[in-house]
Amino acid sequence: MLVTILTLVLTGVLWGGVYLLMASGLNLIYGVMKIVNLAHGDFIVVGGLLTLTLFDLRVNPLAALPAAALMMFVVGALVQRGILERLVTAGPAGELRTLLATFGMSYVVSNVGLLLWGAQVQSVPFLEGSVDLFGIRLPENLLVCSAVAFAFAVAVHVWLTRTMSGKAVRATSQSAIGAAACGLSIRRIRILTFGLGCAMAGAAGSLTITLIPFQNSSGGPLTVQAFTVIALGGLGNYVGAFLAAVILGVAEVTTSFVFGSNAAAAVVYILFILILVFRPQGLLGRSARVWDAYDLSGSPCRCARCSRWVSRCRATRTSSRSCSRPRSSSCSPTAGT
Amino acid sequence: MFSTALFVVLAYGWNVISGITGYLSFGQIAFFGLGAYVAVGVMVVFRLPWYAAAVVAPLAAVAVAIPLGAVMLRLAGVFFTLGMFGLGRIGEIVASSVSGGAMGTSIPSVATPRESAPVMILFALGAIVFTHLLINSKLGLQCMAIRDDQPAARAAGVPVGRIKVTAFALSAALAALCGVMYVWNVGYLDPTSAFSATNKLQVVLMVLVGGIGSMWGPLFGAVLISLIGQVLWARFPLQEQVVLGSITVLMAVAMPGGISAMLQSRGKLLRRSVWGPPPPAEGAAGAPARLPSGSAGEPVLVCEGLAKHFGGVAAVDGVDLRIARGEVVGIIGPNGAGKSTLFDVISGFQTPTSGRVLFDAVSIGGRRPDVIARRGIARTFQTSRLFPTLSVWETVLLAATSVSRARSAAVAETVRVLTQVELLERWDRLPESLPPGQQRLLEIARALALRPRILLLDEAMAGMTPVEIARVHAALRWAVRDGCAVVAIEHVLPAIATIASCVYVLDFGRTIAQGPPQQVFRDPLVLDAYIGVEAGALDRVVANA
Repeated sequence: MLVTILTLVLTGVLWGGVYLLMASGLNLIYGVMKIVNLAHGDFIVVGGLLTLTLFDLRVNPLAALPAAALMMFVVGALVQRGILERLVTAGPAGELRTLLATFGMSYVVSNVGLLLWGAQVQSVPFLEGSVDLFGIRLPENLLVCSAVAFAFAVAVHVWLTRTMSGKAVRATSQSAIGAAACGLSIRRIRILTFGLGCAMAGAAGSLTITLIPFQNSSGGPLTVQAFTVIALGGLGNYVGAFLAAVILGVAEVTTSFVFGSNAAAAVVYILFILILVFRPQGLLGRSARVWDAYDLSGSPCRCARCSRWVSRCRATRTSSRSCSRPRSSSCSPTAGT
Repeated sequence: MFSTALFVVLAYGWNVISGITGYLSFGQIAFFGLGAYVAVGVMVVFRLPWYAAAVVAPLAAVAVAIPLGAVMLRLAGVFFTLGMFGLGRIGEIVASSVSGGAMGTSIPSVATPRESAPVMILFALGAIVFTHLLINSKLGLQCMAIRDDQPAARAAGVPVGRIKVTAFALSAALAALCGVMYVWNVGYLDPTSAFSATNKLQVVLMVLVGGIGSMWGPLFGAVLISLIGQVLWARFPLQEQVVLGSITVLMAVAMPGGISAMLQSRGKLLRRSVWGPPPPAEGAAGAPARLPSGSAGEPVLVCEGLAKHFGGVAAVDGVDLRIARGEVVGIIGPNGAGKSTLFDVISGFQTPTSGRVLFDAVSIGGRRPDVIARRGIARTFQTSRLFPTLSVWETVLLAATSVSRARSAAVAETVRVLTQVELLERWDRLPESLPPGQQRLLEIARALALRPRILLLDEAMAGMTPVEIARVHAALRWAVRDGCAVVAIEHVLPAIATIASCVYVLDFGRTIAQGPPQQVFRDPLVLDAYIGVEAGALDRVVANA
């Protein structure tokens, strides 16, 4: 019994790594560009199917991962340059337009997948043994994939927080106008961001296809899965996203074990809707935000006051330069005005 | 013929929630599936004819949509869209585990094309007439206002939640009806066709091509796309979704308004104002008097120790106000003093952390903004919030319908208010075509159409020309004569000093001075707050560091 529970939890945690990578790409794109890419799951699937083709050419899936990621980077950059850049996102119908465009794009991507790879369910066999850890049996491929996924997601996080180019991306996510005023090329940053988000989707796809079989139409559920992680973690909250990915992994693995795979597919959606309704600010909430990379005013919080207060704080910080204390205290009216 | 008509109804159904009300749903196909499964149940289990199913299924869809909508429609934009997408998938998963599973079920009596096509065309005509009536009704006007700006709709007294759920339920009923007709026509149902991804894409694309939220758009789009869809299905079944998807992307990028917007830019098929044009004026007579509320000295609005904290920040920190009937009161104070938050709390957009708001000696703290607006506290916003797609006439009419039940009364009130602010001759203009001063005037008119007993003006006269300020003053005097009290936040002191009998000065969420304007403006505390602000703030920062 204990072994079963531990196995379920550990498997769930490992799946969490893969989910985190899936979600990070979507999170990055949403954070910087305010676009919910409804085709994200389809990009994951295409990344996986590319790996399949490379595997047929006797390329190891782990070696195929950078190739798939690079190809998806190119695709993503071209999509941004050729299509999304031309979208008029201003005005009340702006969000509607981006949703419609990426909705259409998800059909295009998944059906190009259909034309290239057919509709059959396919998988890549990779490290099919398992590791025995004090009686807990964990599949080897899951262990490796999870480690790679964690590493990839963490690497992007470090890039965003520790490097100058990462800082430019974060600046753009917080205020595009401000970043432009500092001489950054918003256009180039957006192309880079969308490309990188898609590359992360491609990498996630390469890993996932060795774990679960894919078909061209698997993208929709994956998009929702990735979005569930973001919503649960709180937009832009990295620790939250990690916790959320693990929770989702454990929930899915457990439901699948107890009720079967059909219920596991439904549990993601149910969890998703419950989170949106009861905890729209995410698991840890606003106060636990450790990373302010992703824009705050675009967050899912329904109360207008949060965003209003944040924007006021920003104004305060720019107007009184003597104030270098953290946000919470610089918000107080004493330091303001 | 049948499938084109079916898509016309589906497209109009989707247009109700996603076009007119502005909630993009990729899950309405779930109600099509629900209708189809209810139809199978009714026809197979109870052996009833198709028309019984056509009555039962929409009712079932409404019964499901009301609680579902009440929850889902609290979500904003993207989250609603994705949530509905998830619900559609749950529907599919549930459907494949009941009634024949993935293999599907057959129904006993199938329609011949000669039966089903005329019925479906009749329904399609019904959907067109229904949409026409909806767009030209109070409900339609409220839906469009919600699409344009929800807080502003609330401030105009629209019960936003109820209206959204109503639109959602209507949309669901139309989709369910289509589900019934589909089953009756095909005679067979399985989860994949009930929740078909192609149908979902086609419906969205039809409305997009035709013009989202427009009257005739769904018809154009449905006819055009179902023709294209049929050709593609016959010639290139594999490539169908790629082509349709590409058209969707192209439309969203290049022509987001669809065919309707194209025609409208040439002056064709323009939407006419709801219940317009204004009837010829019969003079200003017949204006209904406001309910008297006590004698002139009696306070209408009382705030006691009102406070609003955001985390550790006290935006409003124990403010006491007493506003008498027909009084004009000014509220001034530096930026960030808590003036707008005070208005948000009084008008219900924020719940107070502590303290009470009494309106006519009844506590209104925690009530919804639209309830408070209908009771008689109207407000304007600091940055004007008008409805981009509603005309001047409709903007004011929307508020008037919130308080008058009868159509004629609402129309008369709208004419009266628009005459007062001298905007009547511009009744069919859209807000963006008005100069900024007149936009603010329109917002004041919208507030006045609620026939308020308290009017909260948030920097309404900022950026106005002296002529426009005079016009606002005239309108305010007219409202005050009817017993309405005015509370005005202003930065431009002359704008308020000439008409206010009392001025409150707020700083850091507290009242630092109150009294007649001339006396308050000489108060040393006030002078410090206004003129000594830089030095004072710097001292405080240094002291805290």
